[in-house]
Amino acid sequence: MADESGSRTIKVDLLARVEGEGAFKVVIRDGEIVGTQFRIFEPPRFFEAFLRGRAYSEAPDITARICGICPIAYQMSAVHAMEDAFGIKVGGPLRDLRRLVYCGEWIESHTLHVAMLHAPDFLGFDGAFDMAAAGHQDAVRMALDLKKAGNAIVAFIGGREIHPINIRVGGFYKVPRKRDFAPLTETLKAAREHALNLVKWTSGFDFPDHERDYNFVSLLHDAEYPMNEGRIASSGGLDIDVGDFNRHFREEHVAHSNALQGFMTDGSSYLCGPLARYNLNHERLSEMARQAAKDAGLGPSCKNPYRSIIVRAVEILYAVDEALRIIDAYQEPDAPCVAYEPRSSTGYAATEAPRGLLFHRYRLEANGTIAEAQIVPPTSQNQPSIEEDLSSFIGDILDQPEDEIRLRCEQTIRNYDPCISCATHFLKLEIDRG
Amino acid sequence: MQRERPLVIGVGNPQCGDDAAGPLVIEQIGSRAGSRIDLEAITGACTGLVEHLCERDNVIIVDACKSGAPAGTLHCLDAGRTEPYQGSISCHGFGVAEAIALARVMGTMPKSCTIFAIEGKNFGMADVMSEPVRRAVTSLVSDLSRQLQLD
Repeated sequence: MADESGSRTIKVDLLARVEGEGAFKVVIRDGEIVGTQFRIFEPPRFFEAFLRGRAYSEAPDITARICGICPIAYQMSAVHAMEDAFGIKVGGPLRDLRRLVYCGEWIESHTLHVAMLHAPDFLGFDGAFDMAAAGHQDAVRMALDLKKAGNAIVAFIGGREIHPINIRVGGFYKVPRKRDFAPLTETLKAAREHALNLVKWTSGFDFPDHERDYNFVSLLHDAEYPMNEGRIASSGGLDIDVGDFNRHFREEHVAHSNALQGFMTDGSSYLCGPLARYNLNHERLSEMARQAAKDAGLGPSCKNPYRSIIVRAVEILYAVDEALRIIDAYQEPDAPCVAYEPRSSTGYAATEAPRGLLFHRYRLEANGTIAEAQIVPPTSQNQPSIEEDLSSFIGDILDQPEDEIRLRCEQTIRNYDPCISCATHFLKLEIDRG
Repeated sequence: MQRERPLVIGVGNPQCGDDAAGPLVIEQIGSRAGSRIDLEAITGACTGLVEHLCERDNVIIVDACKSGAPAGTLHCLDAGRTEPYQGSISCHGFGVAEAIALARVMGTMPKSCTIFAIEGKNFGMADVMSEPVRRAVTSLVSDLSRQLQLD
């Protein structure tokens, strides 16, 4: 809405196709953006407080309830942190099964976002319904099949698709027999073709020509595209043990949001998630995924956040490919779980949730009771970067109709696949022009 | 053929009082189902429902609803004839309406898709299921068992 001075207020009461409830505000004076606020007004969820006084063994199942889209991420960060506290390492087939179930979560979460939530932005549709009705039924069908494949992995290893019940500190309650993988293997072989086609489909979109010199942060592993373990590294030269997270990163409460915001300790923003993983770990993708990325026009580095939709598709392909590799190499373990003894200690872990780095820290009493818990989800960490993207990427379209500005803002926010539920839920957009 | 076998899907959150009506119907039909029909409880997001709608000829969906009618009222709807859906999709808000809307625009709706919606009143977390809804569940289980020749 424009006033006599030329200032306008654009307000969106409900931004669809993101997870949870929040808001966004752009403040514009004299044609210049002077402030951006990504506001999360969903009430705090107090999970860290719920965990105090509970048994270490409950953490994977309690934290899984933080999110119905990425429960595996919470379970994995929780079990790894507990194992760090107890001084044990889970290796061999049990480690491989954990990586396999994480592949399942990446496939289902990424596919839903790429095809159903984000693609309509690039194709000019209000949502997946319009997109499907306008001739993209095959893409939607392909996505549903891909997501089903991801769900199948999670259900096969985890016991059910949402909030799996088979993951525990030390390993699993029950592990699959080698022969039982056959139907899943067939499903994944078909899914690999779908994933290749999804990369091709997304690569044909039109992308806003914007880049930023992000400080990318992700796990870094010697031999693998990171999921469950590694050091925390950044494009700015950081290379630290996970236990040193709080020395280099801090969370800050800002007045306009119920979710803590993540910064480097020097106050600068950083970006975690698919784009960060890709930029720091491109050479660790499978050959098929690397080739598909190249064919899609992605180099080893990508700083255009709008192209993150292609990167997500590449990660889906990688996850399917990696799942097949793990299944092929799988040897049944001697036991579903390794032995350990609880002890008074502090454990740390970071794993790569679909949306980015998920850090957990637990201080435990001698009997394994949780004395203190800290959970830093990726959307919290990405909030400052979202605000900076909005400041940087809509300046060139401020003379456009308000609907165009709003669409670009929403598209920009959806580059992050923000999970507001995890960070504390969805999104109002307000542009204040004075 | 699996495609032709009736599939009964109960939708709802078992921890939210009357919203548990769908899963409770599935539980109560339980062992009576035999090989004549398939049963599925969906207690989270309904993206999996779209897959079922694409893969089956005969789907029965049982869900709780809130339309203002007295609690326990049973509504029977032909999913293929419901009003076009006007909303949009989010990962956390993908319900029965969204699944049916998507299946419709994709042209993959089953030949027959009936929705039994039980009017509820208690939908809060940890609420107890209301008596009228509990009676409606028992009555619907009986009707479905007869309709599907399970007894």
